[in-house]
Order: sequence, then C-alpha cells, then structure tokens
Amino acid sequence: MNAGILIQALINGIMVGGIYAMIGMSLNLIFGVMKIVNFCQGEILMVGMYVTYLLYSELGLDPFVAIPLVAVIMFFFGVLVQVSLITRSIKEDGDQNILFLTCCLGTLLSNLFLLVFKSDYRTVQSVFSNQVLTVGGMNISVTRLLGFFVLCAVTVLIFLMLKHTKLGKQIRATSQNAVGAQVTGIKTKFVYACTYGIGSAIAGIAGACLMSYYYVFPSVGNTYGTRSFIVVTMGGLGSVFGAFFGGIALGVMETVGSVVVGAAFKDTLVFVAFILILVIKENLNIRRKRG
Amino acid sequence: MAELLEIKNLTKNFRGLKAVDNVSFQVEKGSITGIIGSNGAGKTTVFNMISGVFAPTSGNIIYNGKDITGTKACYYTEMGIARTFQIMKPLRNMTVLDNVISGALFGRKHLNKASEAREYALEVLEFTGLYEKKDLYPKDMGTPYKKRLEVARALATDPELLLLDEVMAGLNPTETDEAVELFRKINENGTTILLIEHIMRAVASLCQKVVVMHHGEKITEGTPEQVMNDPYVIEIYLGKEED
Amino acid sequence: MKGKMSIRYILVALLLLIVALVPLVIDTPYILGIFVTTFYVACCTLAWSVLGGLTGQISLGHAGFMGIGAYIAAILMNNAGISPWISMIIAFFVVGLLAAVLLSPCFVLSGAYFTLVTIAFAEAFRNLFTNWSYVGSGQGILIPMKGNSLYIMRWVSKVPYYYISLIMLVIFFLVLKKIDRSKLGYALKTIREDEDTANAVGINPFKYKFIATFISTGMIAIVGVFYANYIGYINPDILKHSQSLTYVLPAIIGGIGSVTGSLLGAVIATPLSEFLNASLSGIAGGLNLVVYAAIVILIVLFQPSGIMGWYDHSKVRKAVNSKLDAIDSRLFGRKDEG
Repeated sequence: MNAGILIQALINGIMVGGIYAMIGMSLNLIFGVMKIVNFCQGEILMVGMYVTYLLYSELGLDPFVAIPLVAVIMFFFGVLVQVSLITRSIKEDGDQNILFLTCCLGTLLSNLFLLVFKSDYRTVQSVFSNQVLTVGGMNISVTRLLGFFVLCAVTVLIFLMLKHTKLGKQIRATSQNAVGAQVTGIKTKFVYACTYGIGSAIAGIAGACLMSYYYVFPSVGNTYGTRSFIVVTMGGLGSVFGAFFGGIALGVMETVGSVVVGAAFKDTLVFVAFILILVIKENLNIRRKRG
Repeated sequence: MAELLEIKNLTKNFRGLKAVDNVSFQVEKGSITGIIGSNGAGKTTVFNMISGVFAPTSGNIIYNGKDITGTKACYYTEMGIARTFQIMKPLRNMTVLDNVISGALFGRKHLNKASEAREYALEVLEFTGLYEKKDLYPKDMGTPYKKRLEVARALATDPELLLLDEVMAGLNPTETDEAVELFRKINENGTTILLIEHIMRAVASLCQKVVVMHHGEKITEGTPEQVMNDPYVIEIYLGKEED
Repeated sequence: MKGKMSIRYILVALLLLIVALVPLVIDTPYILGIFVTTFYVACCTLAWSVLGGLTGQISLGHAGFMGIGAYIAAILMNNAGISPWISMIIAFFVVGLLAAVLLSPCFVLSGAYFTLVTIAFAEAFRNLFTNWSYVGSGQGILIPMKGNSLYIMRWVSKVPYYYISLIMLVIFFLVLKKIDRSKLGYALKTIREDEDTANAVGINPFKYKFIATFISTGMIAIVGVFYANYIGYINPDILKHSQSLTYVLPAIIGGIGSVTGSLLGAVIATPLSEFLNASLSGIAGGLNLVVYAAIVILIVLFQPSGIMGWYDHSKVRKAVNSKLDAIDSRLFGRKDEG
C-alpha cells in the first residue's frame, strides 16, 4: 500500500462522507428540536432519490438542477408526515411510540416503493456523470465533488437560516425549551412541522446528490439510515454542525478502513466503533453527573 | 440516644457550582428529623447523596457506625435506608399493589416469593390507608394517594431509616394532618425518619430536631421552637413562609 | 385460585387439544407451514418480550442473536455431527452469555440509544458472517438432508416441526408467565417503569438487565436452532434488522409488556402476514408489508397499549371474568373470591 492509495481513499472518503453528513445533519436537526430519534430517515432519503429519479425520467431534469424542486417536494412530504403521524404520537412517557411509529413508517415506505417501482435498480444520467477531474495524480469524480459542494452550501444555508431568520430563531428557542418557547408565543407545533420538513428536505437533497452517481432501489434507505445514526453519534446528538464532521469522519473511516483492514470487514469496524463511542460517551456523562 | 446517621462535612459541586457546602448533622435513632430551607437550598441534593444517587465531592456519610459514602443507589434498602422522590415516580403500568410488592421483594425482608411479598404488601397498604385502592393504577388516584403510594413503596422495603422528600407538598390541611398522623405511626413502629418539608406546621408537630439550610450551607439546627425563633432563620426563610 | 379446577384451565386445555389435532385434519404442507411459522415467530416474540416487553429495553437486533443460534446449529451439525437438540442447549448458553456480555456496557444507554446499539450489533454480526468464509460467507450454509431422523431434527414432512414448534411455544409461554409473576419479573417491570425507583427499592438495574438479556437472547437462539433445521438452509439475511422487526411487531399489536399480548399478537399477525404474502406477493410484491406496517402504525397511533392494553381496561374483561366465575361456581361449587 502506498501513500497515493491512502490519499485517494481519503479524498473518496470525504466525498462519500458528504452524503453521510447531510443525512446525519437532517436527523440531528429533527432530534435537536423535537427530541425524537427518527428511525425512518434512511427511507426519507430513499423517497428523495425516487423523486429525483422521477423528475429525471418524466421531465428530463438533471439531478443537480432538480435539487431545489426535490427540496421543496420533500419539505412538504416531511410536513405531511409530521402533521399526520408524528405529532399524534409524541407522548410524555418515553420515546417507545415514536420508535415503533418511525420504524413502521420506514417499512411502509420502502415496501410502498417496492410495490410501485419493483426491486429494480434505477439510475439517472447527469451531464457530469462519468466525468473525472484529475488533480495531482488523484482522480476525483465530478458528481461526487459537486455533491460535496452542495453539502457545504446546505450547511452554510442552515447555519444562516438558524442564526438570522425568524423561523431559525424559533427553532433554536424550541430546541432549548419547548414549553418556554410556547409561553413566549412561539407556535411549537408549527416549528415542529417546519423542522421535520426541513429535515426531510435535507435528506432529499442528499438523495438527489447520491442519485447522480449511485442507483436507487426500495431498500437503499437501510444502509443510509444506520449510517446516519453513526454520524450523529460521532458528531454529537442534536448538534447540526457536529454531524458535518461526523459524516466526513465516517466516510473517511470507511474508505481508509477498507484500504487498511480490507473492504470486507470495514462495516464491522464501523459498527464496533459506533458502539464504543456511544458507550464511552454515555459512561463519561454518567460519571460526571454522579460525581 | 445513639446516632443512626451521621453526615460529616458533606460537599457537592456541580461543575464548580457548590450545591451543598460543608454540611454536617446527625440523626438520632428513633427520631424524626427535618431539613428545611428555601428552594435551591440543597436539601434534595443532600438526600440524593444519602441515598446514593450522587456521590459527594467530599465529606462522609456514616450509617450505623459504617462509612457508606459513595455506595451505589441500589444497595441502600438492603442496609435499611429507603427514600421517596420529590417528583413522584409511580410505576405507571403497575397496580398500586404491584407497586408496593416491588418494594417488599427487594427490601430487608429478603422475600423471594411474590406470594409472600403480596401478603406483606397488603399489610403495608392497610397500614398506609391504601388498601381500597390496591387494584387501581397510579394515574387513577389523586395526588394525596400518589404521595401515600410513594411512602408505602418505601415502607415496604422495611427501612430502619426513611427519607421523605416533600411528601406533604400540595396537600390541603386535612390531608396534611392525616399524613402527619401516618408518619408518627411509622415512627412509633421504630423507623427513624429524616424528612424535607416546606409545611412548617407539619415540621413543628413532627420533628424533634430541625436542620435549616440556605444556599447549600447549614445555618442552624435545633428544636422546632429554637429554629423558628432564630432571627436569621426568620429573616431568610420564615419571613415569607407561613402556612 | 391456584391449584383449583377452573373453567379457564379447561378452556385452555381444549384449545390446545384442538391445535394439537390440526395436523390430523389438514395435510396441506402450505397451511401447516403457516402454522409452523406462526409458532416459531410467536416464540421469537415471547423471547424478545423478556427484554423488550418486561424490561422495557427495546432491541431491534434480536434477529442477529437468533441468527447466531442458527449458525451454531448448522456448524455443529455439519462439522461435528452434533444433534440440534444438544445445539439448543449450547446455543442458549453461548448466545445468551455472548449477548449479555456484549450488551452489558450498553445497559447505561436509555431508550432509543439502546435500540441503536442492538441494531449495530446485529449489523456487525451480519457483516461478519457475510464475509467470513468459514460460515459460508454470503452464500450461507446448507444443512444436507439425510432422511427422516429425530436425532438430526430433519423430516420431509412438516408435521414433526408442527409439534416441535408448538411444544416450544407452550414451554416459552409458561416460562414467560412464570417470570412475569416472579421476583425477577417484578424487578424487570420496575426497571421498565422507572430506573430511579428500581434503584431506590434496591433493584440493581445492571444485574437484572444482564439476566433479562441472557434469557431473552438465549431463548431466541433456541428458536434459531429450530429454524436452521426446519428450513435446512441459512444465510446472513436472517440477521437483518427488518427480520428483527417481524418479531417485534406482533408484540406491539398484542400489547407490549403483556405476555399473553405478545402471544396473541403473534398468533394474529403472523398468519395474516403470511397469508397476505402468499396471496399478494405474486401480483404486488411488497403490498403485504405495506398492509402490515399500516396496521401497526394505526395501532401505535390509536391504541398504543395494544389488544391486551385495551382488554385489561375494558368492560369485556369484567364481563368475561364474571361469566367464567359464574360457570366455575356452578361447576365446582366454589364461591367467588374477592
């Protein structure tokens, strides 16, 4: 193994990590504000990918051009899911209901798409497909690079939105203290719906980017769903920007890991790392609390 | 009288904030001792350290002559220390009887069969006046009964020392009197009681000794009369609190 | 009411007798297959509910532990000729201990975090098995058919499997009922309701979660051994997260935390899902799971405590009980007890 391969793996990792980061960010936004772990985030990504696919096959839209449209569609999809299902299930005693609800919703969505689209792999052609940028001997796929730029843009946009818009301020207030926010006149139900909508939109954007170089099938969400949990654990649950780095760290860990330990066991490695991080974090937390 | 519990220079820091600062006091065997103080005075933190929820930053907790500082929360009923929670924590999906059985099974009685624990739990329910409610779920009862349930569950562990954290808060005067009566009965059966309370009338009629806390420190201790006539206590605490 | 005759026992015995007689009447392998699937899925649900229902620690990785049990059976059979009956015992202890030890550092995690860890463990094992040539990698392991034999638990007919799974189900149900009413059961339920309270009455959450994990995963590993010999072929897909869900969904339908509910949910949901699968997958693959998931979503939204949760608080229960008591007193001349 030479340094070149390792650096190539590193670059690929950062590019792949972009997608992980985006879906992790969407999960974290929802968790941070609504305090629920959304177990169907992977499936929402899948829906976003199919939307991108449909926009391409029916209207001939390039996945990167379609991003704004996908984001809007997924926003309303998310709002619909939140208003019709999630809200009804938020109860004070524990998160069990939400867990089951979102799990079942994931199963429902993936099977609904299986029903409509069958289990075929579907791809989309972007103008940039198969184009490769060569910099200093390193090959970088243009679609992946664009995907990474989209991630950076989305991150900056979310940051600006949370910091400067009225809705962003309401979201931040609700995430800190929902009851307090309600007392000051913030319509928390509205904020929740928007948050879930934005979370879905980000997952949809990730789906559109992913679609430009990957293929979609009904159970694609599985892989990305579990990945998103790992991202948020590494980056810190609830921290939108932690997810940015968590995602990239995971991408790098996977690609570099597959060079070092072999592609076969990289997933095992990732899951073990995930469990270790989660457990160590929680133990430190408890020790600090107990004194 | 011998000391059952001795608190020595107990201190607890939460990330630099001193919640409890160098507090010392004793609880005599067979007595009823009260801790009073305004909100945020550190009373519940003291309780949490005595029952092992928190480990003290420094200081010692001596129970029956043994240093038990830092012992984990689940080993206290075995030693004879039981507590209630200020924020009630009923076992929601279990009946009142099952709530108490669970106390009976894991206390000092060393019962291993649920059927034996059931009999003992029924006795405790009878004693605490909850017998008629035994088949209800906690959510179907009013606050006074929920508070009684907290006490009954703790009592079912057969404690030598019972820690009661504001179990009379939110009760009306009649209910308070009933509760005072219950605690006196528990005490007459040989259980030492340490309680946190805001209702001065209850404290005055129950406690032989009162410890006053303010901003994490112990200000004074003495009989209820002594404490209530202490000018400093009146200034910081009783000045605004009259039942 | 213990030890005395009651119409309840007679009814249950009658029901069991009818179920036991089914293979004499029905000899369609397809129908018998649905019964066998129902029985072993019910076993899985019951095993899961020791940790998920009674202790409130929601695992979505139980398919992983069932899968390890199945792999143990296949490897011991193929490589050492060890009987599945012995493998059941080995799988119970090995998987139970392995799971309890691996999960024990995670007992501090609450709610969804614990669930995430169980998913991660199952996925890690699936990845391991998919790439481990000793266990057949992605192709899995075939257990060769060597003719009908009790020793290797292999038959051409489905009838023996019918009885084995039925007996397994009855045993599992009795074990769970026993746990539910025991000191252990009280400890687990108290932990489920409130861990602070559990600590305060002297229950060591770590100890009891360890025991619950051991029993729960050990039991599901036994089902894994049965499954491996019933199907005769296993691959890493049986460890999938979606598989875990099929063992959990019946419990939601029946009522999480209720032993009878878990059984009831599995007995209702599994045949339904199998039937939908058989009748719909040809024309519309995926529709069966859409329907199944939609039903569970509706239950989570409108009746989160499931069928038993509804029954326990309903008038029907009172009516049924008083009817049965009346019959009791007429048949056995016993007065109603308070």
